[in-house]
Amino acid sequence: MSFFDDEAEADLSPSPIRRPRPNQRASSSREGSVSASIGGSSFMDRLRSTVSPQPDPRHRHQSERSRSKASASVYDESSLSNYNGREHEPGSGYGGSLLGDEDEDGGGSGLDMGDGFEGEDEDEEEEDMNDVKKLSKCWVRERGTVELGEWQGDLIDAVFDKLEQQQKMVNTLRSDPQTSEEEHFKLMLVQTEMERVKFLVRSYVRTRLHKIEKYAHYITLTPNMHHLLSGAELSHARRYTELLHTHFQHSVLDSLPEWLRKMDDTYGDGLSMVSKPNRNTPVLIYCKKDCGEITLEGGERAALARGTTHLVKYKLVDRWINLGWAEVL
Amino acid sequence: MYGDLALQLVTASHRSTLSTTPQLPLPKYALPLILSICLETRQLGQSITTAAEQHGQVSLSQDKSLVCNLTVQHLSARRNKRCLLAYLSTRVGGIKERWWDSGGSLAYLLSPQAGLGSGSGTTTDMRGNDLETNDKDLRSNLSPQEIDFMKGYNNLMLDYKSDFLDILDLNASIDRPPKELMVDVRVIRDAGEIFLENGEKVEFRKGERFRLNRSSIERLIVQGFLEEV
Amino acid sequence: MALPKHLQNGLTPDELTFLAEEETIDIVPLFSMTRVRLLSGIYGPFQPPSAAQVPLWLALSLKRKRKCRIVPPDWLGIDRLQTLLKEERENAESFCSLPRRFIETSKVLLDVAPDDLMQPSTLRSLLKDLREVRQAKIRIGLQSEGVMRGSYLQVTNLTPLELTELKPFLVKAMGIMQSLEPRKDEDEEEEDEIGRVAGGDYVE
Repeated sequence: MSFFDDEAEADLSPSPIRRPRPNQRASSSREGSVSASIGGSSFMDRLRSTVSPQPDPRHRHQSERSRSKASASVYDESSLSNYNGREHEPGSGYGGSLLGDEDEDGGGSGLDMGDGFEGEDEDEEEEDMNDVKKLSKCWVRERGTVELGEWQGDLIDAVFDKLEQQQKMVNTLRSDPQTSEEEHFKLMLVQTEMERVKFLVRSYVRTRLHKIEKYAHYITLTPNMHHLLSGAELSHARRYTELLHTHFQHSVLDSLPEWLRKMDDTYGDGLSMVSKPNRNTPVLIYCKKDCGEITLEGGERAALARGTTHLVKYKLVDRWINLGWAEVL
Repeated sequence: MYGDLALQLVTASHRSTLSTTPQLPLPKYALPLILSICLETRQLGQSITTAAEQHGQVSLSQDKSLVCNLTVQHLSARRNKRCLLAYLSTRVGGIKERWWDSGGSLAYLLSPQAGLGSGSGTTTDMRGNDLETNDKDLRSNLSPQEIDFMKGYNNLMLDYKSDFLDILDLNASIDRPPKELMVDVRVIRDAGEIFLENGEKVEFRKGERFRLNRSSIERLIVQGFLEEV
Repeated sequence: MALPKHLQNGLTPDELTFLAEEETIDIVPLFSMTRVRLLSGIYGPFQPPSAAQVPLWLALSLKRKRKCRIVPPDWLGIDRLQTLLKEERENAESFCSLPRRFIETSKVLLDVAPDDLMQPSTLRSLLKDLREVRQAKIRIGLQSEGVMRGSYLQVTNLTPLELTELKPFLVKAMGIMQSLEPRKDEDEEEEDEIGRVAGGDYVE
């Protein structure tokens, strides 16, 4: 239940990149909310300790020790040294490798503190990205292509869990008169980031919704697309199709001759009433890996070498996008 | 000629989608035209059926002019249907757009909005007034079926949104990414007393300025009560 | 619409700036604070004069509150930009490789933290020159014959922001070119979507 640093690593997963062990988190959050609701002090203490370092967090680490014995002693040492962070000599190596210590102790694999500006994110591997970065990528992809990408349920769930916990903490600490100024400041940062993440989720979900409604009929008729949608999305697609068709029927189709009332005609020019994504729409991609050659209309070939950028028909590169070799810009 | 009315319907509809900013009020549902097109289509259908019955299979395979005649009628009827649905689809887009623009508030969209924002017509007030005009007209510009559709869509979205509601409001704006947490706003239309998410009560009177948590007043910005300074 | 019209053509400059703000940057805090855990990672401790690495949005937020000095990325210096500009001018065939979000990043830094940059006005004009040289190359490139082979264009080293400015035009142009191509009567032939609505095409 800790959100701020300090002994937070003990409670959450070692590194924020890793998906937290779900059972562990679930239980700790239940415990937290129960004690809070009965006004117990332990929840408050825990919250408080996330913001303002306490002299002796050792007992709280007790349970953690059993979980990760190997690293326990180092862990405590490092957390203590972090508590005393401000006593360090200025410039004692805290600047560059902020989290070097945890990375070793907590077993967290490279908390990617972001790529430098020249580092460019193209070299970044999926696993090394934090949830916000992952979400950004999914959002960019969803915005950049005509086809619906796969619903990122796990990621969204993980982000939602964290948002929920943070919201709980913010609510509690904000109304507590004992919350210090520094804590308030941290809360402000937490909330600012929450708004950013919520924006991403909202835009991601609505981008999908837009496509789902646009191609609702096609989606309902195409079972092999269904795995791309969340349950709620699929149900929305079905109900939306029904709603729309009812509207068409009541508005005009019922007044037309019976043979003109269908919703899935194909017109003389080959267009079907069931619109589907136009896979000829160009997409902007950056090749993270060498994606070989593609054949354009007219038989010309184009090389999709690593590090190059192209505007190209979606259908020619969709497999590279799905493999993650090409990134949608 | 067959299809003239339908052509009239779609060209007018297409024209109304060309000017996107500022958003124009949704034009009035073209009921008379639609009824005429439906009538024409039924007549075409009737005429095809009658002709087919009168002539029977034999002449259909021999009489080229008859086949040609029936084909033209058939295509005209199909074209009418296509135009009608294109018209409806465009409007469905407009209805959904307004639903989202209003922050998902059906009550707000369908209410006459009389009394709100009445009074002076200063420049800061323009947006509010425009909105009001649109909304006032919206209900009367929709067909009963379209109002049903909007209500149905509202219900679908309420269901869909409910999964997210603990964490976020899907209807909050995505026009622009958030910047700072706090936002300076000016009240451009009286919104009365509002309870913010932190339990604080604020009375929003026109012309006043506030510095508030963006997420708690996002909806009021979307609905045109507040304006970012 | 669930997705407002002005967002349907792809990411907007505001949104690209938002993405740039997720990248990290070094700051020198002017205040002390223990580390803070956010969704994207753990940042701090903040202890002057030690540098700390934070997301750009966090740096900007602190900067606006006068709580830090931002260490400009190394490419945002006069020497580097002059070199880049020279290369960009001399290289008529292609575009120089720049940091992916260089326009957005430099813009917000110049807006919010000009006092942390060396000679911000010179930087500004160098960046503007760089942008213009590249834009001119784009224009010339698009005029050259056969640049768009069918629906394909190689745009290596153009940044997403530059591409965003270009994309709506190109996509439209490609759509028109596609509609001029003879239609193949094959099943794979996908329908063209321009001007199309569910259940029917617009007639014009």
